[in-house]
Amino acid sequence: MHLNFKILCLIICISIFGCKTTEKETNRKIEGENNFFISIYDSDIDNPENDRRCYYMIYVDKIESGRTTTGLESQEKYFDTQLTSNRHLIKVEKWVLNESLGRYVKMNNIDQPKPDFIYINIDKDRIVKVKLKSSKSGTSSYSMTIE
Amino acid sequence: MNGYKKSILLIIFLSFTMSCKISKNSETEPNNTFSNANQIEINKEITGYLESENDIDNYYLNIDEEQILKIELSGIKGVNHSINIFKNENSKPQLIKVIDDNRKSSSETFANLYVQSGQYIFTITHGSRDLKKGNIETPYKLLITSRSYLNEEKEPDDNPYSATEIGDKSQTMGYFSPAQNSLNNDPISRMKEIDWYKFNINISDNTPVLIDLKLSGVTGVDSVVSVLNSAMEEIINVDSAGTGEGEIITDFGIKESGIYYIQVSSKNFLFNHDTPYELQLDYKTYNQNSELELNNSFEKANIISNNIITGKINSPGDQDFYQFIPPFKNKYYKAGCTGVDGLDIIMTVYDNNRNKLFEINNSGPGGSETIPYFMIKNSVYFSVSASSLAASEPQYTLAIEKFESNEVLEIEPNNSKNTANLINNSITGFITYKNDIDYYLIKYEGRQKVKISVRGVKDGKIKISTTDQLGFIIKSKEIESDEEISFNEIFDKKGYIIVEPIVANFEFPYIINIEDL
Repeated sequence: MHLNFKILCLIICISIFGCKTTEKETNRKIEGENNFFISIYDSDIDNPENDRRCYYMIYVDKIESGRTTTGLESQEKYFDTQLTSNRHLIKVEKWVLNESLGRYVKMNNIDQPKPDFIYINIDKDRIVKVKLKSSKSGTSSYSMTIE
Repeated sequence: MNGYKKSILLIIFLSFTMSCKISKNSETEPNNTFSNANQIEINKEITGYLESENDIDNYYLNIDEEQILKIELSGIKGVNHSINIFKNENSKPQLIKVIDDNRKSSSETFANLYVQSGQYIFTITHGSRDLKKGNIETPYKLLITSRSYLNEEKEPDDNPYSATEIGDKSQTMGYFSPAQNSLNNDPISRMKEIDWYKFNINISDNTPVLIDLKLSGVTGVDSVVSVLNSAMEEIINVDSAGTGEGEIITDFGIKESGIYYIQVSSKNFLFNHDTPYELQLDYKTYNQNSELELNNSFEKANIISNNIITGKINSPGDQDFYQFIPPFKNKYYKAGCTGVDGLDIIMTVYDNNRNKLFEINNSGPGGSETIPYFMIKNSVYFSVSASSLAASEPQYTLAIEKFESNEVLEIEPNNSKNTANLINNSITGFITYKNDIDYYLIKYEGRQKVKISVRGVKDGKIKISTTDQLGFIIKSKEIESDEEISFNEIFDKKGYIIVEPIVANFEFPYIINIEDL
């Protein structure tokens, strides 16, 4: 009976550890999935009239890679893609909606977030998540997490 | 001696000849009433005076046979005079015409009074417009001449009751004379001199009759022609030509038996006492491949029964409506309308609920308007009109044919987000008309990156744009002729592709392919 209890405890422990190991593995990049995520938003919009609809064009290593979702400046807009293991230059370019034209137009360079780039390192089986927080003054701050 | 005799004979002969043509006479006062009217004769000029503001001079003329009279009254300086014409029936003079141009010092003329055996009284009096005053210095001269009656209007024919009767293949002569009709008190056409004609139509086997009506031009006169039914409703009015030019009504359809009336008149009281007009009327039986006027509304639209119909634009404002009931519903059809040289066709298509789908005016005068293909779900209406009408026989042909294709085709109208065509993998579209904008809707479960490949329109130039979910443009590309371009785009669940012409070509299609990445 005592031996049976020990075996049961051992099985439970193995199961718990086994589960944890699997959970850790889900944070790792799976072959063929995106490993770079960026979200961008304006942090200090306090007037709905100034909260314009916009998106960000994303350039990876100076090549257009795609764009974020569209949304208000105060909302988080996302983009993700798959990058090779290497150091990469990520540059963002803000486009805002001109309602009278019915189209998005690129913001003047002086109004673009500063800095408008970040270097990231992509390691094998790692995911890089960048959060870009922009402000009315034009300054931007980047935070990055690696999982 | 012989020469002297010859001269005398010549003088006598000339005097005799001249006196036979026109002899002169003077009025005998008092002649202010019908009972003491002076007798006058044809070809015999009479001189008289309107001596005071109250002076009236009456003359009577005995007619023994049907004929046409021309009445000419010279002007009196500073006086607006007029001629009242009476027919003496059973010793009761009936006023049949007033000749008054409402101007001082001017002469009065009436080119063609139709008379039959009986007595006619001509009253020279003051006109109604100006202050009445006499003139004992300037006499008037009244001259009535005559000619035989042959295929002419029967003046006075100023109302439907006195309309001149005409028939098939008739050629009738008339005059835009006199300038005005003081007896016309109709609020719409007050004072207007209108010549009325009437003709009878008998419909057999329910086959409509087409009439052709041709009015020749008269120098200095801008004419108008109207046709009325027996209920005195105007069913067509033609005023397409300018001054000195004629008017034409062709292939105007009449579906009901009865008496119909024609009104011939001039605009702005223009007249011509010397040159007649000719009014020509012809009937023919309706051919179901021809237009049947009056078809100027949805309610009166002609049915296109054999996929083809010919018609005519009778006036600048003429709009011909046709209904096409497709033998196969929800199928693609091609439509084309070709006009003669000088005729710039506008072809408009409406759905079964009479909503305008599109207006086609891509070509210039003499060109063909084509809809390369469009889906007909139920019946549709076509209207054909013209933006320029410089053809003598402004005829057109409207033809419709089934369009077979194995490709996924655009469904017009798709000019807005609300009418956008859902696109899956591929679609073929056309620039159907000037400024045609085609919207395509793209839908995904989530965010989807796609590769868009577009082959442009041969001999044209298009702009292709992608939009966000709300339809705001994110990206635009221009494509020259039939070159092929590709670009990537990301759609967040939903977006649109918009195709706009920069240089329109209506003959060749563009093709859009979408590939998920």
